[in-house]
Amino acid sequence: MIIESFIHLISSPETITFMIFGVAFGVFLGALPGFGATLGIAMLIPFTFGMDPNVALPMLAGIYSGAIYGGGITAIMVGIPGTSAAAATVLDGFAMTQNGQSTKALTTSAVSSAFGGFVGGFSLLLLAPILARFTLWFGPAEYFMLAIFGLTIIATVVGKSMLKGIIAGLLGLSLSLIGLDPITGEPRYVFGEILLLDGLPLIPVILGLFAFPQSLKMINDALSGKSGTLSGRKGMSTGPAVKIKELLANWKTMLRSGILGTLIGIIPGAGANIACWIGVSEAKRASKHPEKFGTGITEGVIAAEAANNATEGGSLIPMLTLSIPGSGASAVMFGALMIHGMVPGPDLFTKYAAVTYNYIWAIIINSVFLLFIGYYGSRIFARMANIPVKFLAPVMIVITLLGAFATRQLNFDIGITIIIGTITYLLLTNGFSAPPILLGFILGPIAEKGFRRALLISQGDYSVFFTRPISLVILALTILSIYSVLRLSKMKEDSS
Amino acid sequence: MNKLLKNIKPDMISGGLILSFSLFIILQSIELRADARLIPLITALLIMVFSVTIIIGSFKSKNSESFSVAILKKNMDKPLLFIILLTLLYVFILPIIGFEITSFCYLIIVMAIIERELFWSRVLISGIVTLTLVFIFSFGLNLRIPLLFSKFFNI
Repeated sequence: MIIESFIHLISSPETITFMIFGVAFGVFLGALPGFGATLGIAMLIPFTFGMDPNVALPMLAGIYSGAIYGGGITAIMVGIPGTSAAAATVLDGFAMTQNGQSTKALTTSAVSSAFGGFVGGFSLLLLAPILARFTLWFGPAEYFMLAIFGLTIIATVVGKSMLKGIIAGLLGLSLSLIGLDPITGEPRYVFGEILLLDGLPLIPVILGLFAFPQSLKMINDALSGKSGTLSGRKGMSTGPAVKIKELLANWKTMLRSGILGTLIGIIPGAGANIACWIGVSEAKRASKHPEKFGTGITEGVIAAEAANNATEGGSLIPMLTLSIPGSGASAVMFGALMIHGMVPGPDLFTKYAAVTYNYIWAIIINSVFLLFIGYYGSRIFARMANIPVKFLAPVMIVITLLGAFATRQLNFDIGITIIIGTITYLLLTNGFSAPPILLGFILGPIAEKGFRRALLISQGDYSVFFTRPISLVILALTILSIYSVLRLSKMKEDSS
Repeated sequence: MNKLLKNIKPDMISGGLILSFSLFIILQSIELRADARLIPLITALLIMVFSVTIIIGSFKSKNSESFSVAILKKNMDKPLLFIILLTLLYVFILPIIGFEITSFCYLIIVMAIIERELFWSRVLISGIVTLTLVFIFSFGLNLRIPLLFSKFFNI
């Protein structure tokens, strides 16, 4: 059945055409701040009603792959992640653009994304039934420990001041507390506003943390006459593409991030948002020159992009086998499967095996399309750096506001973006950074739910976090992470 | 007054504001049930401790710029403040006069603030950008943007 599905897929020109369209459309959406894979898939689902699922599902898979890569384009070119999954790409990707190496960063991103998608897709194809069982062992205590592990990563990505990074992470965590209490349903910090009962919406918050302050910074730079173009130097050469030799030299980082991304994708709730940070963090830990991360090195881009694209395959493992969507995009894909009459679960691998394997093969083959579209289109994307800021910054603001409005069609969401964006801008000017706020915002609810549910189950016994084997393993990883960060800080101090 | 502003460091202001925010969370959390306020209280207390550390650190710091120079002059100039207020106004005007006119006017004004010359370039770019966005998102992606066009023709 697996081989038959592959032959069926590659012999259908219609499916291949729609897959290429899906990847290209995904790249376009991902490059627009706020218009990520989730929104892209959600917007195109209505158009797939009348389509054959063998065509529709591969196209939607293409949007996901393209959008994750597309999110990296703006992260590299403008310093604004088009999707939260590309937040870690900003660190080295944008630094490379500022060093005049935007084409190199974009081609590195294309190859790494394609490789990550390839690893994730193959893992899905080969390991789905086996690995999905592993997540069944995860209880609330494990989820809490996992979120804490994620929060410790903040310390590795904070930039200059660890203290300010931790505060930013806690501010993000406090933003995530707005809305109904996850256990008792009691409203918290909503001040009578019904629209806040569901909490702050993710997309307006992301736009407020990244797109809006970046636009303000661009305007401020233009007002003070600092820069006329995105690259800071008008007409600046974007440099050559990355050399294969350099990519091969970083094969370990690529493979490590691909595997990590797949594993993180399998864990429901974790997803590409966390995978990109863990990818960078682990690459930094394994590197002989960790101090070079954030200065504009290809290894940083490889680590983030291979990890975030690999999560697609991973996040579909629990969704397809256990009906547990591992990410926002896979939750929307869940809906797409239902629309086409396929209920996620064991039936997918028996009753609907042909369509399911067709869809999985599409994820793998989309990586090849992504490689070509990303690699050869990167010179076009790279030209974005020469757009005059005086025109681009106001347009970016309008697209950002439109992106905030798009998800729920509420003016309220635009207001959230502006308020969070202005506060973030002021924080950024004072040495704080935005990524820890986003990490705190994403991991906060996972940590709180896990912590309180674990205590409810154990009837208030705190030992539940330290006696379960998986929980202990994650705890050990957390301690190791804190130790590595402290050691790294000491090394930095010694060298300076 | 000027001397006082010179002695105030940016970290004192940001630390003070964040400290006030943590106190606000604590005060709001008191009304919540015990289990619902546990995590907010822990978060707020941690923010409080770290923000006090930042404030104390700013007293020791000798090299950092004063608040007036670092924030008011460099990063929050009057035109930028005006653009932020204009963006807030955009939210209120959008449902009344529609996306096309609001965005067109907003783009022209913001571009004019950044650079006063090139009037016709501004008008042309604002028009093209607005129409392209309407075409892509409203007609292409079927996104429900508040358009004056749809109101006028009752679409």
